Amino acid sequence: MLTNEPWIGFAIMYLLTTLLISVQIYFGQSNRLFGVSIPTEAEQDRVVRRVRWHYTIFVWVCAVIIAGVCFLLARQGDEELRAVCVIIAMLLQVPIMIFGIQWGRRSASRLKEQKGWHVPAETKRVAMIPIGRPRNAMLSIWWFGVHLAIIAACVVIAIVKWDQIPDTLIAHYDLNGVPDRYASKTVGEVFLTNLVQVIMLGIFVFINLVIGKARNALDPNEAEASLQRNLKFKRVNSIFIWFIALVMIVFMGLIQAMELYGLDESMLNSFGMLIPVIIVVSLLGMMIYLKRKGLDQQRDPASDDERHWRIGGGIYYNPDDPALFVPKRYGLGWTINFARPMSWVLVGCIAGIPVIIAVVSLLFGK
Amino acid sequence: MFVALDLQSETPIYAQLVYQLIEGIASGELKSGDPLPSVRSFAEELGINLHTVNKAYTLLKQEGFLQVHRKQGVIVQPGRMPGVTAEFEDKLRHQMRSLAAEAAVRGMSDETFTELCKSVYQNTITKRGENK
Repeated sequence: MLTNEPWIGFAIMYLLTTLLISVQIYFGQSNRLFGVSIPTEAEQDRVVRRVRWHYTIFVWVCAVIIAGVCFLLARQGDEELRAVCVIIAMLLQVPIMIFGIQWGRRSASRLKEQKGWHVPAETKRVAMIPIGRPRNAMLSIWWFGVHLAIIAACVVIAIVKWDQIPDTLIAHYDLNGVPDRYASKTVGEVFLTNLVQVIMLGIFVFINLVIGKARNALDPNEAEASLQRNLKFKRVNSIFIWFIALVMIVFMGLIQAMELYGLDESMLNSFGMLIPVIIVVSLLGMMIYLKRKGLDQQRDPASDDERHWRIGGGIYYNPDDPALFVPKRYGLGWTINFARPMSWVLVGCIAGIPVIIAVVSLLFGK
Repeated sequence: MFVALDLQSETPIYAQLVYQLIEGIASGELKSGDPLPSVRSFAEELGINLHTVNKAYTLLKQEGFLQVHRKQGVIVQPGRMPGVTAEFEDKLRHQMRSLAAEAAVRGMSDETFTELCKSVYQNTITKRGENK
């Protein structure tokens, strides 16, 4: 029996990610148009707004066309085709976004040339020497004890209820939330979820640590004010990371509970849908909060020069900058300096994590 | 305490760093034994080359304004600051001579020149940055 529920979930998810992609260019430094520096007095120009507006329209038109094609195909095809359609529609958002941004970038560069705008690079640098106790913006590592306690609780419950766990476990669900693969009850299979929880927690703690260590982008013209903005910006990000980590770990705990103690399976459907929605909505909420407080105006003079932003402004490569993490050129968040050898190690690790998880589940799973 | 550099200035960056740190010590913002950022993190915060920060630290260490410990890292001289040496007096005289000469040529009286020297000295140890 096919229920409509997962498809509503996908539709909501699709709408939300499209929304996120289409509005992201309105966040971040206002004197940047698709990564191209524009004069402060031109920020609110009609032509500047139009470049952003065109991008938003482009993203939505593409999204509607793809959704329409998918809908028509899915109505005629079988279950498998529907699943393929959903995945393709989701994946297509990436090239659309990249194309849209490059298009916006070209328009921005052309506009800058036409108007003869000249934005001199900042030649001043400011740094703070912390006196006394350093001001740490991030949540301390102890806050993640909450997550660890939840994981521990999951493990303890599994040990206590060991005898009640059925001998055959559900190892995999299909798109409709119907079990399609089973495994026998082994220590590896029962605690696999907890291992993944721990790995995930480790990643979140690491991100929290790294953001805390990232350079404070200080504006030479208003050092103290920009420092305060930086610290608040980092703190909001830290709280967001803490929250998302909590949601993910609780979610995995629930999956484990369904698998082991036969918790109502229909719950999985609703949770599976809810998680991405919670993540996207809280991300949007955070972005709006940061913008309203003016905290998205993070100007980093050291990485300001357009020369260092390669491949359509997406890759930062500056051998003269010792920093590994720098604020992104457009949008919010941080990116890495590819001129540092450490960046390649990091990229390798990130690419390696899914491989590690796959290997771990192969080793312990069966 | 904030350290501000101008990459376009005539003064080399390492020298700007040296002066700013000494000014920080003079004004009391940096106290004896205060920890300073490591070479790497300071260079990262400023977005400048590691060697530049290293050069400034090395010079300050040689002069005796800083100490580098294996455990504590870089700290402001916890003991006695270097006193007035013959070399320093030479340096001071040398730098002041060119300023005094220009002041004289421009018609500044020696009273005004002395007054200015005095107020700069006092501002440095009381209110940092106002004499720039």
